Amino acid sequence: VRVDSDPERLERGLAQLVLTLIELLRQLMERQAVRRIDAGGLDDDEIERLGNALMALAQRMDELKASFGLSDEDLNLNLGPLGDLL
Amino acid sequence: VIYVYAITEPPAEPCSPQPGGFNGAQLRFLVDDGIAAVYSRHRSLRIRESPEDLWSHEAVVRRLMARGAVLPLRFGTLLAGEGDLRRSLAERHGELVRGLERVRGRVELSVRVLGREGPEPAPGQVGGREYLLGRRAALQRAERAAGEVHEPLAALAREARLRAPATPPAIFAAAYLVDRGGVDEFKDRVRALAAARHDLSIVGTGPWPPYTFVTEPGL
Repeated sequence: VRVDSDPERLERGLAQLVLTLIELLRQLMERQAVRRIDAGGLDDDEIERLGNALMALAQRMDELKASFGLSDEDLNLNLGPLGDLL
Repeated sequence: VIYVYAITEPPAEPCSPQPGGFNGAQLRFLVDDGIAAVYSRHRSLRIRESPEDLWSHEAVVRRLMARGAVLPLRFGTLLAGEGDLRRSLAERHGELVRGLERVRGRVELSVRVLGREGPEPAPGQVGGREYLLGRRAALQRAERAAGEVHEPLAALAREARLRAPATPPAIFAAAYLVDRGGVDEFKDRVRALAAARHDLSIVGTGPWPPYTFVTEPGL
């Protein structure tokens, strides 16, 4: 029922939505990487490369969160009966 | 406009408006067949997500909680007027009645678990392999802690809901819907778990209004 046309808040709201989805994908990729390690499907080089990629992504996420003033708790969506997205 | 705080059980006797709303406005009850909405009237109202405004909302919910079952509404619920509110109550009547039944005589208790070891290496300070293995260890710790802390507590609760993943540095956070009469036993169990686990810092808070167990907090 709230409509807020303040452009700064709109931009922050949009950033929050986009970053939430990216964060969801980042966490899914991280879990997938961990599962692949557990399954023994990765050699040391692959683990190093995958780790570097995920680390760079985490770093970039932190920067984006900071520049939009968003905390980890902001990056979540309540999906009602489905629970929280993250 | 009107600001709506919560859905609750109707007062035992028709009650006159009472102080406590935003900007000194009076709290009013709109009753519809076994449920009541608590609201205040305003010529205009600008709500901010400030600690003061959040606290004003929370204070009303807590007062209602002392009287009986309450479904807190999402902070910032504004409607055009009593007509809209009456329509919302009528449309969602069954759902709201069930929601009140679900939380009647119960409160929410919340538990956060933090790992005691130092913070994880920040990205950039370690190699990729070390980072990924660190994340793996953290995920495994969270899973174990979740099981070992959550299960005995969930056994004492009517309902439980994990917040996964928890916000770092917490590795686990959950909310429990507990009978009012069972609150002391629940808190004792949290204290016992905290004393037994030197590797974890276990923090219990509450009782809270049942925010987590309101299916749809909007109107």
